[in-house]
Amino acid sequence: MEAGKFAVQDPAKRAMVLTALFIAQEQFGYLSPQAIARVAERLNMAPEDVYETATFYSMFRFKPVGRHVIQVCEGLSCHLAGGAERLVEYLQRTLGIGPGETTLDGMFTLQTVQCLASCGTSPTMRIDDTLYESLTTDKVDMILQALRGEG
Amino acid sequence: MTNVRVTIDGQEVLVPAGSTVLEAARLAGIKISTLCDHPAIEPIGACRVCLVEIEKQRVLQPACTFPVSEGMVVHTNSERVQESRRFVLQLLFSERNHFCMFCQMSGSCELQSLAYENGLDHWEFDRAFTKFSVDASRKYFAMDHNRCILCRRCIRACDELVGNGTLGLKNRGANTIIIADLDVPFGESSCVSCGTCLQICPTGALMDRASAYMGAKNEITRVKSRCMACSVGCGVELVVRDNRVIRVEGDWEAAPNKGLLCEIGRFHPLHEERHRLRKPLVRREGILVEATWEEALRAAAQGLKAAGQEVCTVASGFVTNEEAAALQALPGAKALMGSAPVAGDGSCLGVLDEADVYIMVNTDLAKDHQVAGFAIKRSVRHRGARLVVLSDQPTKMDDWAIARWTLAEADRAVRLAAEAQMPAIIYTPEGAALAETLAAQLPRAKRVALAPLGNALGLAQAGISQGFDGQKAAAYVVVAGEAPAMPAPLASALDKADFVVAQASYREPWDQVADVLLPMPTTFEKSGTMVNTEGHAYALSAAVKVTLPSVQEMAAQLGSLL
Amino acid sequence: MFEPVLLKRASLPRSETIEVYMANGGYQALPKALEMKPAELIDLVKRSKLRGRGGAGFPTGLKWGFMTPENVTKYLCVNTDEGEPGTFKDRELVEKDPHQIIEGAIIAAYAVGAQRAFVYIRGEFFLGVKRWIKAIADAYARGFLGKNILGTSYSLDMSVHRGAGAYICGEETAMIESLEGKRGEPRLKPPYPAQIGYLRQPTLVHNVETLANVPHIVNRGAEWYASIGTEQSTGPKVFCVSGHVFRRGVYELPMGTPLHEIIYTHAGGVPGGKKVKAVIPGGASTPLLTGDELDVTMDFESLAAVGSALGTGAIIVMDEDTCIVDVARRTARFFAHESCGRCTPCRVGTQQAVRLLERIEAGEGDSRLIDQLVDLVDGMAGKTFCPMGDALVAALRGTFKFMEEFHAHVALKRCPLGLPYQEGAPIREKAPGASTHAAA
Repeated sequence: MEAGKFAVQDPAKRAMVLTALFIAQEQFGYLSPQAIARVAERLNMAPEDVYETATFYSMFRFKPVGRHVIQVCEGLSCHLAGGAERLVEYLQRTLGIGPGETTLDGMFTLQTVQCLASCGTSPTMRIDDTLYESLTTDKVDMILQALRGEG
Repeated sequence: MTNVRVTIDGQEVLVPAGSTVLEAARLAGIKISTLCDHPAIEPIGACRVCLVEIEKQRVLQPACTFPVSEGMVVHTNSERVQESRRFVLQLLFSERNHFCMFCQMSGSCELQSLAYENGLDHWEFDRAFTKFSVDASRKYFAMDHNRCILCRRCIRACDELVGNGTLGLKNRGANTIIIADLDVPFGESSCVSCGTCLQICPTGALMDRASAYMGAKNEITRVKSRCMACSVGCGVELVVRDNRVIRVEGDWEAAPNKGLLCEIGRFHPLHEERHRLRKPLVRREGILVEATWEEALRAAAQGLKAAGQEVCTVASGFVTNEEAAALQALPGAKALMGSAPVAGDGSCLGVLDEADVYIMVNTDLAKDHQVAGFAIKRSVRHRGARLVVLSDQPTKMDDWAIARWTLAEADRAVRLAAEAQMPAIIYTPEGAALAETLAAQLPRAKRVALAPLGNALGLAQAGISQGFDGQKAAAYVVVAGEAPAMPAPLASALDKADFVVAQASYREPWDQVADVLLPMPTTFEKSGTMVNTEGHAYALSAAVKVTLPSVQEMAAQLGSLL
Repeated sequence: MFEPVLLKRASLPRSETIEVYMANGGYQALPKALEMKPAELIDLVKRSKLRGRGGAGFPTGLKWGFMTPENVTKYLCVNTDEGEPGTFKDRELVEKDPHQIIEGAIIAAYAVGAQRAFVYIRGEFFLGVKRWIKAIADAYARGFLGKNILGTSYSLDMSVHRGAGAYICGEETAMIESLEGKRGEPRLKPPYPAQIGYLRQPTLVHNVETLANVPHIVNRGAEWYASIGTEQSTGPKVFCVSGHVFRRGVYELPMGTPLHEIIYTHAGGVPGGKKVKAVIPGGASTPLLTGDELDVTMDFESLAAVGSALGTGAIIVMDEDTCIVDVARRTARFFAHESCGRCTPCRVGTQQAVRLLERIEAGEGDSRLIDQLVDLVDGMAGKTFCPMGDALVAALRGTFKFMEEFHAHVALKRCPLGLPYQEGAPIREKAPGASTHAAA
């Protein structure tokens, strides 16, 4: 028998858990129970400890998401620049989904985040790994259209 | 250890350095209101109910975590402190559903008591709370997240005391919720139903199915006694209303369990499904029919005499020292309803919180002697101790073990434990021979022998020391108490016997074999003493009054008839 | 004209590379520092009067002095978890000049005897993460990190840890928990990280801007450094200006630069010739100043004297059309979202603040709601487990300077400025940022 899940705790391995979760999320698209179990196995952790840690952080997802994840900055500077909640509302109307939801065609998931540290070029949002700055309604339309065009 | 002098509410006390303000106040006999704190677990300073005023500190400080220092002056009930306490309570009441009148814990709830003590008579803040779910998937108790105040006592108890790590947190901030494992229904989780979380919960979030709405604090009495289900001999507090036990709790002050119990000790007695035996039964033409005590005793004596001189009395672990002594009035051999206990190293259960390597030999502490198993689990999780299981079958302790090896591979365990400062070898009679060979090779090892029956050592002291391994007698007197089942050798012996008398608390399974079946008080219904596996004598107190004849009466009267 | 120190290289092409860094005076402080005794370095930094740039302004030399235990494993954490709304200076420093921070970190680690350094970076900083990883690899390749740095007996390892979306992890003990792979909940203090930190070992936690200053102090001396800024707040400071100004962005100026000068001279003033209604001087958790308080100088003491704080130096300017109740609600929502949930006053208090502010902004109820809000804020003050609850208290108390605006909302049953909180209001056709540079 291999060591039980609670038997050996290795703090140095546990320290890698956020990194491991990022990798798992990239591979699986979200943190499914299988993904959690894999991370736990690699790091000599109990799956429940991995899960408990993961749910604390807003960047981890536990449900499948669309092809593109839109994260709208809700920071104060974006708010003052007319973005934030108003940008969320605009996207809500354009896409027909609320924060945390995915469009029926599986193309977009809408999320809100607290501050993207781009206050100098607000309003901002991030789609996948790309940051879009100094947004206007026109610009948002163009960005969404381009992403749809990619297929 | 050095002492420091602190002044609390004008009263000067000398307390050990390193104490918290709360501990110091307790020593001085001053009560500080707390909520997330519990003496059995580590303080976390989360709820902020215990904030007190400490001179020279800019802001109020939590008594549960703030360390004392020489000359410190503390005010636990100044206007500022009272106001702070009311504010924190107001926030807690506004967060989730705390409408006390609908809650089964009303009258015994720590949150509610604090509200009364601090004069909360209205809701200060809006309470349009989010609705959370109720998880009723567990057999013995349910979880209503709407009544949870996120004090985390349950999580800490499950983790720090039981070492099971079933409970945890999900999300953060206002969305924080207590979960089991990977957020599965509690009933499907790794929970071992020890009920420690239920006992430690300050509110009605965790509710006991058996005792819900059965009586509040002022309607119940508490009786300290012992559990006889196994030889750990846990201290219990029996919660009684109207001459009936409505709940069993672990006694926080009792050694060796310090408040913990297992499923068997806490829940089985109140969820007993067998038929209680209240009147004597005598088998007539193959059928058990009710009889008076005198008729039954006469029938028993007649049957035993007819079977000749060969009578064997078999006592279960639920038999107290006093009952065992009385059994000497009966003729013939005496035996234990199981194997004979083997010797360990005296007061040995404390070792389980000190050892660095455990070798569990051919037994499963997650099934039997569970509270001893909890000590190993928490040591593995929190002290970095290592567990090796020697068993040919999987055990429920495997998740905590660094390895499970077969009995034939015992030498691997010896090699692993050779470097240990204090290896502990844990065994029952089944593994005794192997355990002794291991101990011989590990000079620093402590032997933790677990007796197979609740009061096995007490019975041995009263002269009943032979294990029952299939003695052939023509007739048997079985003194069973609540014993749940017949061990196989006994079952086959009783099957072949000419005549069987049994005294038991429940009909089953004895109604299958007994010719005369006599009622017997349960552990809750009798006073006396027992001896646990360490050799400590513990007192039992009757929590419930019954009119059933005792084992002493049975033995004396039946003895005289023989 | 003040010559930039920390952002000197930032405008150069490929400023993030080790080649550009070394061609422009980089890694020249390190050999000097490694020839000094750790105690001399600590003394040097003490004399420079450098103070932490993460928000609290704790004297850096003093902090190094706490890492006293000998012969134990010690750690250094480089705090790149910049999450305070309005703050984007660390991102600039990391993306444009990461080696400056690495050099400062190596010197700090050497001074306190740390053998291992962690860079804890916000998970949202994709480019920053890449820059850090590349920069560390390059520093290893040139022998600035790893075994026997520059042939000395000193060795240091450095690695990058990504956060995953939790503002609270900017708090040093929460960061350490997160580094250990746990939920980022703050720890009890004392003990402080300098005694018991990462894996229970002494740990020094520094903001990136703090460390970026260190090589310059070693190169140019404590006296030069202390000559910049004010008596108690020395050195250059990276300010980031956002909100309603023409030239939003990052400005490096001496400590003690007047707020007025930053807004009007450097950031070009307010578009449309509008008046400044309020300014948040140091990130969302510092109390705002009114338009009448712009004469204040930007240093630790002066801002404390007017009841605010330098914080991270993140200046958010709000013009006369800004609804302060809206700002308060937005800020409260941020803190409610980021509360770790451990202690009652923060977990429940932040939720209640959001609810009350939503109702006030929507014009529901009457002035009792405002009294309740004030009571709530007073109640929360000083009761939370970590400083985050007090951060919201400070921020909301700042907005109370515009108390009449709160009352106007409940009296008129709408926003007196006729502004936000309307269902379906579009984002501006043209964001102010899009036009600023052309206008400037």
